[in-house]
Amino acid sequence: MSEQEARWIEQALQGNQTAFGFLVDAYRKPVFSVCYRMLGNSNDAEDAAQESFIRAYTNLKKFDPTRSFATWLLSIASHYCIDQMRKRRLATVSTDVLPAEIIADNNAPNPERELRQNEKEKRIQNTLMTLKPTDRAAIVLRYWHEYSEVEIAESLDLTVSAVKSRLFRARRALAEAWAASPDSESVKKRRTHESPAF
Amino acid sequence: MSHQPFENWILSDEPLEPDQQQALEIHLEGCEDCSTISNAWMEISETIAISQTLEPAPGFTQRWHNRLALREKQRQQQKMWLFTLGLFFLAGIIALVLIIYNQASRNMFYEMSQVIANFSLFAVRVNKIWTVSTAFIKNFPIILPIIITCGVGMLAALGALFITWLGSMYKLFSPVQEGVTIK
Repeated sequence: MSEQEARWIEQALQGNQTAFGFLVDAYRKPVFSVCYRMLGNSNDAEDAAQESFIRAYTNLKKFDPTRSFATWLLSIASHYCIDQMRKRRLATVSTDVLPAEIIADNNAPNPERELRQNEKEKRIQNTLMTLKPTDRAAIVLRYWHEYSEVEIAESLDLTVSAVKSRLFRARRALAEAWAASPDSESVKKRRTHESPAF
Repeated sequence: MSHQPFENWILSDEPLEPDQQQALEIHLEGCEDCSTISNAWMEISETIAISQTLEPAPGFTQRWHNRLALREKQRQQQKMWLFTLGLFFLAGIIALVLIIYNQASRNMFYEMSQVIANFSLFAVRVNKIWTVSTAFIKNFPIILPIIITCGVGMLAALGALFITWLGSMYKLFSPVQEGVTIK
């Protein structure tokens, strides 16, 4: 945590909303990203990210300055998203509404590559949505935010061994879901070995 | 066929030892299931590595400020409601305490006997009114001619009295003729 951030937190603790606004501005991307990866569409992600910052602001007194603010914030966002998924029982994902940033940019230097990239983004998101909420949170924090197992354990209130086993289980589930999808390269590779009759 | 420890090695985050790596490669050449999982996980890792950073729509921070302001307003309103409800609750408690205190200060059995006595009195009165009403309705055919006869008689008597009064008034105010002496 930088000195500037510590100052903003100090000022926000004294009721300065503008100071916390600077923190919102600084962390909006990672918080939104976690929420999007967890919930699967940008409307829910926006709502969850906003709510996470509100919770962070109202519970700022509980923040331990010796810990990382980012970890604390993403922990709030992860818990909020897990609660939302449990409430709504989101079994399927709607990737129709994608954030503007990952919709194909026709003005990009290589639109075809962009399109392929977007297809992969959608596919990884769909695969991610097959995981259980807590496993999904662990995977998102581990691979999209490069959190260590200890940090994930702190964020999700789990033991390190529980995080390890959840991550392993989630990786296997992801790989199986990915391999089972019709667009999978691994499936295509596998099909080349199969009889042409099939 | 056993896929252990190869499956663990494929999905492990830890770097493998050279001999483990070699054993895994040999296994993957002969095991289609593990090969599929390994390829899938490699594809996933590559996709994650190149996946773009997501960003909310512009104006996120301003929307947060607006939301916070709205939330605080709602909280204020909620506080007001709670305060009002609290006042009503307190008033209710006070009223309840007063009633209990009032009741406790009297002789409960005496109060109960008073209630029963009042109720009995009321029932007796209702019964009397009921008896009189039913008797009147039952004897109405007999009473009706008597009422009519008495009524007509009274009206006739009143009419006669009225005519007599009018006559005396006329006599009293009529002018006195000359040569007539009043005795």
